[in-house]
Amino acid sequence: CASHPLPPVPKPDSVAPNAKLWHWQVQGRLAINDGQERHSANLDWQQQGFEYELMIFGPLGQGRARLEGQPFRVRLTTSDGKTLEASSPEQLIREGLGWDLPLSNLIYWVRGLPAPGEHLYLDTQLLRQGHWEVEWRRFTEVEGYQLPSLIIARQGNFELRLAVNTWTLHRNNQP
Amino acid sequence: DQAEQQLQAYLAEIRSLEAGFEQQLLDARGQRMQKTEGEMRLLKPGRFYWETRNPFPEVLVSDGESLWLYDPDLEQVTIQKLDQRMAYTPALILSGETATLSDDFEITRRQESQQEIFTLTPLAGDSLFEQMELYFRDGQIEAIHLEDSLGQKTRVELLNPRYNQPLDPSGFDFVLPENVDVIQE
Repeated sequence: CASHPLPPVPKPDSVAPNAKLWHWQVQGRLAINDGQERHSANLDWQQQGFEYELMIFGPLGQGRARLEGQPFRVRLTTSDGKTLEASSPEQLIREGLGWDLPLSNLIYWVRGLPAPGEHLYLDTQLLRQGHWEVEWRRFTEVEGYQLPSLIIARQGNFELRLAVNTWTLHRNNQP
Repeated sequence: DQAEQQLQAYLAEIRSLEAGFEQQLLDARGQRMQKTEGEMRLLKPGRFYWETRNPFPEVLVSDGESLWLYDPDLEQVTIQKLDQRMAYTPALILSGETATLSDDFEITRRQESQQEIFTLTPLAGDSLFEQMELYFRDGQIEAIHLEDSLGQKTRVELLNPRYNQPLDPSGFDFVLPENVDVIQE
């Protein structure tokens, strides 16, 4: 397998510039393990300011689900055409897909940042936030920004792994 | 029947196989959703190695009893027993013993120019696919097409397959990379 040299893991302050990145696309792989069941899926996530569109599809491409969100209004369309609406993505994903995906936090964690609110750095790439422990395992450099390529979030025996295969930064991010 | 015997004769001739592959995933309207490529090798009985390189690197290795699924990006390895339902993925049909194929599939055969195409339709309902087609030319496999219950098609094209070369069985023992998360299912 391709083993590319790993950049040194950045200190919290070196990811600070990522806070102004609000227009990007992440393509990657998501694996969720709650101790009994394991789900894995491919992810195509478009973020435009506070609005986002997530395409979640199974490893063989089956079971495509689309999640469209603006603040306080989120809609999930599943592969069999059902649509669900809710005010929070977490509630919708649990109802529609039966998964726990802390998306509101992930919007920050995926950029190597703590989500708003109380948090504590246990190490340069290990964060405690609420009941979650977030590990930024690998980073990659994209247009001068240090962005995570593997994020592991744990809470009790629930573990979420997000591997970012491709980061794309859109033009309309603030300089 | 004649189709099943012919298919089993061709599959029985495969003792080992090495090939590159190109895999296309098409949605129900035939639109290409994803293209992946990689390499595969198999050695009877039961051993195969199936590595996809992009867009997502993934390695599938079986020694005939267990199956290792290694996802380098996620730094995760899933180990599971080879169960019957899993038994009918393309890799396993080519590397497994296929005497009992007709217990699980209705097999038909058709000829299209130089290609002989065998269509396998699962008899049981819980299979991973609705239909699998195996494409042979001069008795040698060159492509596998699958269709799932959503009408989505997976097409695997084998590139310069090399048949029945001596292969070292240890090439199919999965070596666990360090600090990888292991999930035993």
